[in-house]
Amino acid sequence: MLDRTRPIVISERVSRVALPPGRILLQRQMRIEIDDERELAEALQALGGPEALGDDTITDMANIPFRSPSQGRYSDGTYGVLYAARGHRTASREAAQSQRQYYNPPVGRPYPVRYPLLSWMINGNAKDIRRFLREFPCLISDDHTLCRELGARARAEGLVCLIAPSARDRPRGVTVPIFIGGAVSQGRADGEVTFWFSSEAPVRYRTKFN
Amino acid sequence: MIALEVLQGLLQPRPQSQPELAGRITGPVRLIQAISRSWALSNSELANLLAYSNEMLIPALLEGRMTFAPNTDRSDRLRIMYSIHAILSNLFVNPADEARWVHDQLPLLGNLSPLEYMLRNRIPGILRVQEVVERGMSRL
Repeated sequence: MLDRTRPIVISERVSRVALPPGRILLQRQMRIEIDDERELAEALQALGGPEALGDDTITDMANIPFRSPSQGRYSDGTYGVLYAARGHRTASREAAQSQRQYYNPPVGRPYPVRYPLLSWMINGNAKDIRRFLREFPCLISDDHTLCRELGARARAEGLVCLIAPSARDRPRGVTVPIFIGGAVSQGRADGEVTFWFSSEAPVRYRTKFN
Repeated sequence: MIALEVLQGLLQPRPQSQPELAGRITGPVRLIQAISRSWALSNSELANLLAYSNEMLIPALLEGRMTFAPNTDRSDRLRIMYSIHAILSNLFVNPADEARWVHDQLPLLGNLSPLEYMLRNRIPGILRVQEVVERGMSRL
């Protein structure tokens, strides 16, 4: 499939629904819970000191999947992929699908949870594989074998990312699996998405922009 | 052999009605208090999660009458549990849902609640819940 596709140069903003960097989360939480400066310093030390708190910018945190890869649609777990989307709606629908497994609310008591809507600029060579969907429906199936092969090939070709159809936002949603850690820049929070995970209804969500 | 902290805890008076005798609450103990409150933990559950041999030590710990020793296996447990708590606390719109989530059965953890999973599997269990929360729920 990639042999039949010409590379294109892209420069665009891509989105993902995800929590902010660990350092920001931990520091924010400690400030809420500890108001005494001495205790705050001791608590910080107990957590390993400032250097142990993790990434401190949205751009830095985009490297997490590359530092510790995990399995996903476009990776078997031996290399990292930052799975982003073109557009906030697709980012939210992809998140809604993947997050359902983490909540098991009793009937009538949904879990409302809130995530930032993050985005980064991505620049570089890409290949658009959306036109192959009719020929290869497994591009959006739950069997990830073909997508993982494509991911490995794209990475070997030095592509920054693929432009691919979204399985969770049909028919127009576009995902952007990114294969090179340092390829994104200018990370920022564009808004906030609240999801309602319920045992008796599909996941609902609402987006609020900054 | 009796650990020093156990001895200290047992030898200290229990000034429940005399708060002026309580020791200073240190930063790490503030973190433990926050976890305990947010997850609605019993003394027994907190003792188990922090690897204290006796739940009777927990009031002394939380009131500042017993030292929380840094640089131990126990501080690793605290570090991991606080990172779990920080993520959950930022996720849930209703603060009470954090405790609810910790106590709800989760198919992903073999139909155990995250709390039961941590209690049964000790440090590997705490690390697994950390993985679920940090990599799964935080989405990076």
